[in-house]
Amino acid sequence: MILIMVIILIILVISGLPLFAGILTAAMLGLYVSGVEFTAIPIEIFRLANAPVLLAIPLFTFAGYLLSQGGTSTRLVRFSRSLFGWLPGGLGVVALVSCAFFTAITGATGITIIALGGLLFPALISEKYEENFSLGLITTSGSLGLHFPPSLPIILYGFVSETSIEQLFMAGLLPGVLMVGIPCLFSVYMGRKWRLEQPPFSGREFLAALKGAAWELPIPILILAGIYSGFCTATEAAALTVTYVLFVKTLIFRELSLLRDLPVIMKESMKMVGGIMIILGAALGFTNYLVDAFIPMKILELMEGLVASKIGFLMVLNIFLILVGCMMDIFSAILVVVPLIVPLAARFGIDPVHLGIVFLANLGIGYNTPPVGLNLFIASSRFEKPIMQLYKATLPFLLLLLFALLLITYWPGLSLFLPNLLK
Amino acid sequence: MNALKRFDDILARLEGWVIILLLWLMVILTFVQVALRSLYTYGHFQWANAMLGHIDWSGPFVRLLVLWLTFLGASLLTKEGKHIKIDLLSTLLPKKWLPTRELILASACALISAIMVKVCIDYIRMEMEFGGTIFLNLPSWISQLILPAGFALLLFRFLIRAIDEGIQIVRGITS
Repeated sequence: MILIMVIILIILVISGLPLFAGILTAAMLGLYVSGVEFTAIPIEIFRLANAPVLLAIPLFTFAGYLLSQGGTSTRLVRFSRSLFGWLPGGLGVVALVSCAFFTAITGATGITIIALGGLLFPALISEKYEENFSLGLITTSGSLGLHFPPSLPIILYGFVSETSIEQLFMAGLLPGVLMVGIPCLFSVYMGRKWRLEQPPFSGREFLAALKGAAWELPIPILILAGIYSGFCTATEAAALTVTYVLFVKTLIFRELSLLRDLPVIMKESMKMVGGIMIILGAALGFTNYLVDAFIPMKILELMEGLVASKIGFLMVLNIFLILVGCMMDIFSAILVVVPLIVPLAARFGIDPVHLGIVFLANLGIGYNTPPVGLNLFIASSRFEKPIMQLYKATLPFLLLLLFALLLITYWPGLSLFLPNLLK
Repeated sequence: MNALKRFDDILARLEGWVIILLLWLMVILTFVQVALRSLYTYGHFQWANAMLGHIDWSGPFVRLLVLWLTFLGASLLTKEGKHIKIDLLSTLLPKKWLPTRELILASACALISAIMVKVCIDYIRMEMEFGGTIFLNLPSWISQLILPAGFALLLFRFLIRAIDEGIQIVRGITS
């Protein structure tokens, strides 16, 4: 009977049942089998109202949505163009850096390709970059920058795995730079090979662009500095960021009107929050059952029979997470998979901070992995190109990012160097 | 059905207003907390500390708002049918099957939401008997009312979707 229910549930979930409903059902089935009252679920959901850290999620999402409207994207692209445009393949570098930065300040909510793609893709084409190269570059750049503050996936990972968010932010810096840097080198290499035009560096344009972007550029640095100087917690940083962004957008640039634009942005951003947090609530209920039923222990026993070493475990993890990443979005993947993986990783002696960085790198790559990586579909509809062309166009970038992933996974020092320095 | 849909739209507008109001409250209260705390810590103003004492309810209150915003946002998301999901079948399934799939999925969600409403009411009954008090000496079950209310909103939205898809299927067969 239960087996039939589980099979029906799996079929429903892969045919598009909202994930929160699927997870709630799984929790109910589990509780029913173990003979526990269903009231265990609302008790867990109510924990959402008792975690100060979670306050950062609606606040940073709101700030991110505010920044995604109006001229912020144009100002950022202009600035990075004045800074990197003179390099061979410079516009590719500009695209990668601005996308990563934009992803970071909007909290990695998946709006980068939509917001910046329309600006950067035609620019690349008009400067004679190959179409497939440009498509692949823009598509993959949508998943870079996940490691930089105030990335929401990092906050969620910290909450679910009970790891310090402050340390995670610090640990993400070098791996984040690596994941942006490797495709940048590729772009420089191709720029050389194609002998693309290189506009000279202009000090005057640089200063003008810097002045234009001066209000928005320092946001991630201010957040990091605020947290590390002990001035504020991550949640308080979120409150300050929202206030600052509101001030900049409505009073300095006067791009957003308090009465006309803000209500719409508020509603849109809270829909996003609702979508993520309701899954979080359901996942808390489900995890509670998993732990009570010793499921992680059972998986652990199974794994120990199959994999003996730390390296072996990391390899299995990489492959598993890429599969997860191409089926689920990063938020649900963190909520569903992290509670299962963390005890396993601890058993194999992997630092939870390092694990988090590997997790994000892996899931970001999963976004671009055929057949169902989400970025591929967003880009396909945004640029009106067939999905098969996108598979082909992203392939070289995918390989480069996989290389970066290997470095991040098997070189823990890269992630742990900075947080250890500050301890 | 038209009356139901009109009610749905009015409800959505109301939810929108509540979201805007609550988010403003959240932004302002959290900012005031941080500002007062830093005035006290770095400026050593005694009055800032006294003010913090007066608004000590705002911490738990703002955390409760997280739950409210979650359910209100999720309810609006349901109206638009944009919940996060794994969808492997959309491209494989023939087009004419899509309404049937929607009907099944919406009904399943409605059923799950209905069970959750019931479970959450049980939970609140329990809290009414054994629960303590929270900020401003309110009984704790009041803060938990959002759970059944939130799932009731979801239940209503999924039911409307299911009815809507059902009507479309019937129309498709008769025409």
